[in-house]
Parts: sequence; C-alpha cells; structure tokens
Amino acid sequence: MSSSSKDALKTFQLENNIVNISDQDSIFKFDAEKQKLESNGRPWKNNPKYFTKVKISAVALIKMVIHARSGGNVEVMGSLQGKLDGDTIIVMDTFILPVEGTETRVNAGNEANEYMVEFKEKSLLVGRLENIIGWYHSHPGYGCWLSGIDVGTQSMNQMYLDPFVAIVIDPHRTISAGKVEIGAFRTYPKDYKPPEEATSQYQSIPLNKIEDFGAFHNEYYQLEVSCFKSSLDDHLLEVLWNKYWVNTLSSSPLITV
Amino acid sequence: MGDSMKIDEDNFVVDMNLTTSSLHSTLHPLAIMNISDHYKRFSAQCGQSTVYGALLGTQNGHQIEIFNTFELKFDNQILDLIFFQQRFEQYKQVFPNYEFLGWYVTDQKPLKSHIEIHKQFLTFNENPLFLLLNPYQKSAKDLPIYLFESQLNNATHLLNFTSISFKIKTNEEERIAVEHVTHSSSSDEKEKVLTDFLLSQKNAVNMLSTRIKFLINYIKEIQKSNLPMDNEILRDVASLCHRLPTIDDADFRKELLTVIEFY
Repeated sequence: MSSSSKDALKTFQLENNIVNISDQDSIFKFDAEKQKLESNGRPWKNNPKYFTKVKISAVALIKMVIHARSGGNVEVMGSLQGKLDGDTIIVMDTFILPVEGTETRVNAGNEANEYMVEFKEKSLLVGRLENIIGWYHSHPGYGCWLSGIDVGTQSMNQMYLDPFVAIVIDPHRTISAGKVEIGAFRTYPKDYKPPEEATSQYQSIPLNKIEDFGAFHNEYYQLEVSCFKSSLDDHLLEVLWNKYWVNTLSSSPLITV
Repeated sequence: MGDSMKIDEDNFVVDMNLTTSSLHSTLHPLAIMNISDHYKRFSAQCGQSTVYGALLGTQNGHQIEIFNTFELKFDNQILDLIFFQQRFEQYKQVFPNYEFLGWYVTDQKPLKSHIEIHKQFLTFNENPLFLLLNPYQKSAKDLPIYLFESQLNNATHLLNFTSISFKIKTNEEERIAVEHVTHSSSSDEKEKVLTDFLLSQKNAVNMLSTRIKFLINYIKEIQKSNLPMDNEILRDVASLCHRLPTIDDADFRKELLTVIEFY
C-alpha cells in the first residue's frame, strides 16, 4: 500500500471509529460460539489434568494483588471472570466479594453468592460477557498452595461449577520478594491417585502450616501462570515505565535488603 | 502535557493551558489499565472505540486520588441512571471509602457533547473530574491522558473544561503488579524470573546511562558556548554530582563486595 492510501485508510478508520484488532488483542473478544465448542462434551471430566495453564489479564492481576494486600493479615476473596482456550483457562477480570475472612480461612456465605450473581448480571450490560470461571483468595505470609479447607471448597466448585480454577496470592511474600507470588490450582477427582512424580516444588511453609500442607498436597495440582495485555496496555505501560524507570533501580532487593 | 493536543477553534471547549487548579489530583495505574481494558474489550467485540466510565477514589479537601474505575452505560448520550446507581452501590460494598469522583471517555479530544455528558454528573459530585484517554496518541513521552475540571464562564454562563495537571501514584503492591505485567512471564520458571529481573535492571541502568550522557553532552555544549548557561539546571547537576561520594565511601564498597560474594 502506498503511503497516501495508507493515510486515507487511517483517516477513514479514524473517522468511522474503526479499530484494527491485532492478534495480540483478539483475546479480548468474547466468542460465544467458540466457548460452546470448548465446553462441548466437557473434556475436563475425562482427564484429571485437562487444564494445565492459566492466562491472567493485566487488570485481573493488578486487582488481585491490590485486594490481597488491602486485607493485611486477613484472608480476602474474590471471583474470576474468564473463558476457555483448549487446556488454558483465561482470566479476563476479577471482582471482590464482600466476605469477612479470618487469619486462617475464608469462605463465601449466601450474601457473597448473591452479590456475585448480581455483580455478574450487571457486568453483562457493559460488555463483560465472560462467565465466572474461578475464585481467588489470599494466603498472607504462608505461600501459595491449597489448605485442607481450600481443597474442600475447590472440589465442591469443580463438582458443581466446573470449569473452575483456584488462584492463591501471597501479598506479604509479594512485597518482601518484590515480585508477585501467585499460584493457580485444580483438585483431582476424589478417587484419583496422582502418579508419584517429583512435583514437590520447593516452597518454604511456616511450621504451623506444614501439616495442613503435607496432608493435602497430592490432592491437587498446580497450573502454569502467565499474563497477557493489549497493544494499548503495552503502550501505556511503556510510557509509565519511561517516566518511572527510576523506581526499578531504587526498588532493587540488592539495595533494600 | 497540553501542547500535543489540538483543539478546533469552533469546538469552543477548553482552556488547554494548565491552570493553577486548587485540586491536587493523583491517578493510579490500575485506573489507567482499567480504561485501556474497557476500550480494548469494546473495540475487539463490536468495533466501538468510544467508551464511558466512572472514576472512583478518595477526596480529602483538595487532595483527589483516583484508584479505580467502572464501566457506564449510555443510551444516546444519556446516562443510564439506574445502572449507574446500582453499580456504584456494588462497588461501595467492597470499597466503602471510595467516592464518585468523575467520569472518563476514550476519544481523540474534548468535544462539546462531553460538556452535555458532564452536566449529568453534577448531581453526584459538585465538581466532577473529566478524564480523557486518547487511544490514538502514540507519543512515547507523554501519557495520552488528560484531566479536566469544569468551570462556569462568567461572561457566557456556559460550562467550560479547564485542563488540570495530575501525578501518577502507585502503592508498593501496585508497583510490583504493574512491573510484573510489564515484563510478564510464567511464574514457574525461576530462570526466566531472574532473567526478567536482570533485564529490567539492565534497562533501567541503560536509561540512567543515557540520561548521564545527555547531561555530559549538555555541559560540553555549554563549555563550547553553543548553549546558553542556565544556572538553575547547573545547580541541579551539581547537586546530583554531590550525591556521588555516598556511592564511593568505604561502607558502601564493603556492602557491595559482600553482596557480590553472596551471589
């Protein structure tokens, strides 16, 4: 295309508010037909490790980390809105549930369930078309894994709401390590014995939690977590970074230790 | 800021000179990313590029802090009031200290029609802010984001937008999360995490080195009398240089060597 016709095209697009959707940004489109195909025959019922990856959008990740941190030493909880892509669960957005947690557990009551349904209904009206595809909660200071109670909650979820994923965030370790401490998990079916594998990823678990960790750690598996963002996100983050790159230097753990 | 945006003269609207507003506004990256997400979602879904939403945050006297946003529904430029109130209630339940601070739009410039929309928010906030994100502006230097407050023009008795300045603010956890998505990677691969960390450090050091080279060139040009001497800038440079001895004293050297050995 010559440069003048390119300009013409651009002008046309601008005037008609037409936006090109690149490959990078196509993930932001919700395709109801494709989602129907993805859940056709519920393939995750036949394979206990059907889902292996979780992709999290920029807003979803930032919201979860801020929420987890705002709870201090108390566990907080929220819902994940997303969709499927083969063996990948895509988390597009999250929202907070009005739940009073304690320092060791968090559970959604009826009030939270009502809130969840209403929030999701309103989301549909403003183009957030994805279903609820999981939940997240925080483990302030004791790492990302599923406790006995969490395993119970997640098994119920997978029984009645599948496809469903559990995400855990440790806000304290996020701050102390200077990087987001996050894990995504699914439980195995009740009668399933996972093959003995060297999956025991190294984790430091506080002593008072080690029993809880050890008793349940082979009833679930961890999914690989990655992030994605749009081309506009890329641009905005680049400008932000150009303005605030100094923080990257001053926040180095080498200096702040 | 303002100079990168052109305003049509007939389009009235705006005083783009940053006036000395009494407001001190700060904006969090989450709000920016939320608006970006809203825009991308609608452009991917239905090719619609103008989206509207509400700004949430705190206001203490003249200190305004925009933390979050949510999407709004409009029918022919008329705000869906019921939706707005219900959605705001939902956010209020989980963010009890957030107030409605104003609204945002994704567009190329402020328009007269934005004034009409703005008026609809006056019932909910005496002085709502208006944030404009221009998704087409691709300058690597400035954020394509503009903040306005409205003022009644004494002569015409019409509402005008006045551009106001704002700062970006992040909390520690927000900064870590933003950095994580900026250089996003899989969480499992330790090597990759280290590479990413070193990469962002390297980028930052490169940036520092570019800036220092720039200063050195600037001073050389002054020495050659190619550039006029600006005492204020030179004082800044001098104070920067005076900080160097801290980085060169014995304690620092010892710490540095320990760290290097440790790794």
